[in-house]
Formats: sequence, structure tokens, C-alpha cells
Amino acid sequence: MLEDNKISRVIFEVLTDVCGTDEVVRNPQLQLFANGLLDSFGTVELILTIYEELGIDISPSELDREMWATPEKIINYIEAKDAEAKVK
Amino acid sequence: MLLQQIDRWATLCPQRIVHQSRDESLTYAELKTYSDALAHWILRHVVSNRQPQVPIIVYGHKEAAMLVLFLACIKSGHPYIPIDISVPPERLQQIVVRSGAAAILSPRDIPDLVVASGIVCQAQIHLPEWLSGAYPPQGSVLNEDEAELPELIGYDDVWYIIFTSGSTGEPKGVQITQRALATFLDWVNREYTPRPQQEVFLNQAPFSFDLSVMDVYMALTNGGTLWSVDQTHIANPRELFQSLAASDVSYWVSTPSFAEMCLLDRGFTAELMPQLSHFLFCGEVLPNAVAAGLLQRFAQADVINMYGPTECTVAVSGVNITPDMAASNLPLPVGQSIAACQIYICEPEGRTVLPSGVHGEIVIVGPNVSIGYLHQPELTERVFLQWQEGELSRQAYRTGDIGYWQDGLLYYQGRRDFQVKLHGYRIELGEIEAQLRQLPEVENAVVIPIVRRGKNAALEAYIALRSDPVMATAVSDMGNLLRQKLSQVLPAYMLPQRYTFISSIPLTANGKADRNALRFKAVAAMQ
Repeated sequence: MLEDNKISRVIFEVLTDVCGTDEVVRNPQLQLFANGLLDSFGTVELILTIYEELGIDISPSELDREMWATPEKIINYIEAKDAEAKVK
Repeated sequence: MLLQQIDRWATLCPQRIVHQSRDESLTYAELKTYSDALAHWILRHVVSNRQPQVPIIVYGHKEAAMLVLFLACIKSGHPYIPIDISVPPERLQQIVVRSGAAAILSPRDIPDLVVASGIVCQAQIHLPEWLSGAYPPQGSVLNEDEAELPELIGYDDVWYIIFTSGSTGEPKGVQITQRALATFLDWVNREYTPRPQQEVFLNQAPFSFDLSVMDVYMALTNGGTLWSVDQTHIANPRELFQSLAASDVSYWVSTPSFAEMCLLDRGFTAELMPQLSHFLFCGEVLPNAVAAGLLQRFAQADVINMYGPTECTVAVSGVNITPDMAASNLPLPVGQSIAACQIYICEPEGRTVLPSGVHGEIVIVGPNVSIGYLHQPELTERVFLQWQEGELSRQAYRTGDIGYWQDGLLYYQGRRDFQVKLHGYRIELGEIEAQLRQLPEVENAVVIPIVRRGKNAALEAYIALRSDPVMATAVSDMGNLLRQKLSQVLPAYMLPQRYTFISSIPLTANGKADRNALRFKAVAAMQ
């Protein structure tokens, strides 16, 4: 399992970079797709960085937009996936 | 003539599906019946008092009615302008004005702003209901007994007009004649050999993007099926993969960016699409890693890298990428097989043809070349020219692209100007800057691409505001405000993602905006 806070730190960093605003850190409930901050190609950036930085492999087809709608939801999803990997 | 090539399938294979979009399908018999009937309706009710060959705007997304309306316009003697719903109302209105269109037809609602402008509008065109007379909007709409119309669009008449980003702040309309389209189709059909009545073509690009001309007309001229994926599919990869698994797609036509996104998924393999025989890419640089990944996962398929600007009818060259090419460190070539035209490398702005191996501007000469921009003679004169070879004078286009020939292969190296490709979309940075400068808050603006992983990933706007520099806390609010205002006039793919506020735009020695200084600043900020 990854060190405490590493997941949220990496996600906030990459979202700030991809979305171009630190509002994603100040407001973790920010609707990323609805506000035009993230699109399909931004999601690809996110998936690639998560794999490079956290070693967690995500397939685009396991996601729908509702599951990844906000920074908080993304972090929760990745933490659950990391915990699941640890149990296995 | 193209209409004959398309209409014959209604006799040869009337029940074959020509367009599948989710649960909605359209047969070749329906395509002909509906487009014939709508052509009569257009002549009676839409453009009866107008000049011939005035364009008609067809507005929508991936509905089967879009194909019917394209052909109905042609059959009634009018070129069509395809506009996707991603185009915001103000930009659509700009296109209405600039094109002088006779009407706008849509299977959807038409934005109020455009309706209020007074152009003839017909929204909510739903074909089976119209044909059955369930709700004819203007008396008896469709009469199946009417005689077939003669071909009203000749070989040298305009077939379609695609609007692309224009550096002066407004989009420009590229006019493509039937001759140019037929020349392109002769080449791709001969070179990439689709089998009649057997192939399924992926339609990923919106109809307002000329990449879609490749899948639409390769399908229509070969009795093929168009398998449509819409914006909701692309936003939800799970749905997209379900659609692809059900598709039997044999010809994949997309931007490289779209295939790159699909490759991230382990399930994107030949098992998902066992019939797939060709990947046809155009619209942006194909990265080596994407080509290598596709060749590895789809061993039975050819990966074709194509090149061509909208002004020369989709594509004028292509090359079959081998595993060795994909594995090398060199950029992939974009041409080996050439359509019925010449591709020269010239001195920028000049007519001197440079030898193989020397870099210069790509100039395309021949029947694929557009006759020019709609109602913009000065702009047309700037980039289109007559190319003299002995007694022969032919239409030519200066692409603004830099490239070179080497060992019989054409290579693309970038642009001479401030045009960029972002996820396959062609964007004039000058158009975004001009729109920003029209906002009351903005004194001056420069837009540059943000490069990640070696390719353009997003756009960044550097803004000098009219008032004093904003307080730090208000910066993101100001960015959101500008983004929101821009979204009313520009499609989503042209919106800068980042807004950086600076006291003034740095200038070069000759007084132009110093883009390199800003680019270095952007790189430094990312490190």
C-alpha cells in the first residue's frame, strides 16, 4: 500500500497541471467535466500519470464520468483500488 | 457522377444498413427514398425563390438524418455546410452570415439566436414520421411519386463547404467541388481496396471535421456501413468499448489521439474487433508508439498514416507503416502513395521546387485542390495559386506546412505560422487571440500550446488586462470569466485551459509578440 497522503498529493498535482487551476485543490467537490476542466484527453493524461507515479493501472473502460466527476471521487476511487491490490 | 455511385446501392442492396447510430439504423433504400423526397421539399419550400447553388447549413451531430440531408441538398442543387452541435450559437451565426446560406436544416432544435436572425430554419426533421405524413410542417411535405431530379450539381460545382479556424478571428469556408471529392475517392478506394457491400467504417469525427468525409464517402461509394460513435461514447469509454465490440468495424477512421486513448485500455485488441483490416489516420501527427502499439495488438491490420489539409480534400498522400518504421526513432512518414496530384517542396512563398532531402513549404497541385474560400477572394489569393507547367495551368495550394521528401517518402515537420493541431483539431491561435482582444477586460492576448509527452496537450492564454493587475485571489475568477465568455463564440476544443495574467506582452525586436519568451516561461513554470 502507498504511503499516507501520496495518492491525494499526486492526484491534486496532476489535476492542477491538467486542469490548469489550483481550484481543484481548494474545492475537492469541484465538478471537473461539467466545468470544462477535464475532458477525454485530460483523462488520458490523468491515467498515464497515475500509472507512472503510483503504479496503479487503470483501463478507460472501467470508468464512467460519474465515478470520476470530482477530485474527491477520483482520490476515493484510487485509494479503494490501492487497498484492493493490498488485500490480493 | 457520385450520386449515381451512391444511389445504385438502393437497387443492388436496398436493405443493407448504411448508417448505424446506437439503436437507430438507416438502409440504403431509405437513404435514397428520403433524400429524393427531401430534395423536392427543399426546392418547393426552402429555396424556391433563391439563387441556385447557394449553400444550405446542415446542423446536428451523428443522426442518420444528417446523411440524408447532405444528399438531399446535393440532389436539390445546393452544396451543404455540415455544422456539429459542439459549435456555439454565436459562431454558428457568424457562419450563417459569412456563408450567405439559404437555410439551416436540422434533426435537432436550432439555437434561438440563429432562428431570430431570420434565416429559413427547419428544425426537428425526423424522416419516417415526415414520410408517413404524421406531422408535415408545411402542407404535404413528401410525395414519393415525384420524378427523379436531374443532377443539379455538376463536376466543377461545389459539393460541400467545411468551415475551419481562421487567423483573423472568424472561421473560413473551404469549398470542395465534386471533382475534388471524386478524385480523392478514386484514390482511397483504389489504394485501400474496400470490398463492395462488405465493409463497416468507423465514424468518429464530427461531420464538421473533414476527416469524416473519408469514412462517409468511402462507405457510400462502396455500399458500406457507417458505424457511428457519438460524443457521449467518447466521454464514456465503457460505452465506447461496448459499441466497438458490437460493431464489426473493418475500416477504422480516426485521429491518432482517439486511437491513443483506446490503446490505454487492455481490452483494445483484435479480439474486440476481429474484422478490422485498416487503420486510416489523418488530421495530426501519428506518434511512433501509437503505430507500434496498434501493429502489435492488431497483427492482421494495416496502419496507414495519411496527410492533407482540408483545402486539398481530406488527404493527398498515405503510407503503410511497417513495424520497422514504428520502432525507429525517426518521425513517421506521411506519404508514399499519392492521390492524382503533385506534392512539391518549395521555398517558402516561392515557386522554386527544392530537391529531395531539402526542407521547405509543402505545395499541393492538382484536381484535389479547393477552388478557394467562400466569399473571401483576398484570402484565397494569398494561399491558392495557378501552377504553370508548360502549357498546363493547374490549381495549387500553399499549405504553410514544412516538410521534405526522402527516399520516396514524404515527411511533415511542422508549421510556418501559428496554426496548431490539438487532438486532431486545426486551430489558428490568431483566431482565439482576436476573440480574446474583443472582450472588454482584455488589452492584449497571446495563446500558445502547452506541450506534454512530446505533443500539444492544451492551450494557455497570456493576458494583459485593461485595468490594473487583478488581486491574486481574483485570478481564477477572471480566468473562469474569460473562459465562459470565449465559450460563447468558440467551440470547446479552441478554449484555452489556462489563463496567465501579465502586465504586458513581451515583444521581439521588430515589435511582434515574443511567443518564444512566453513559451520558455511556460516551460520554466512546469519544471
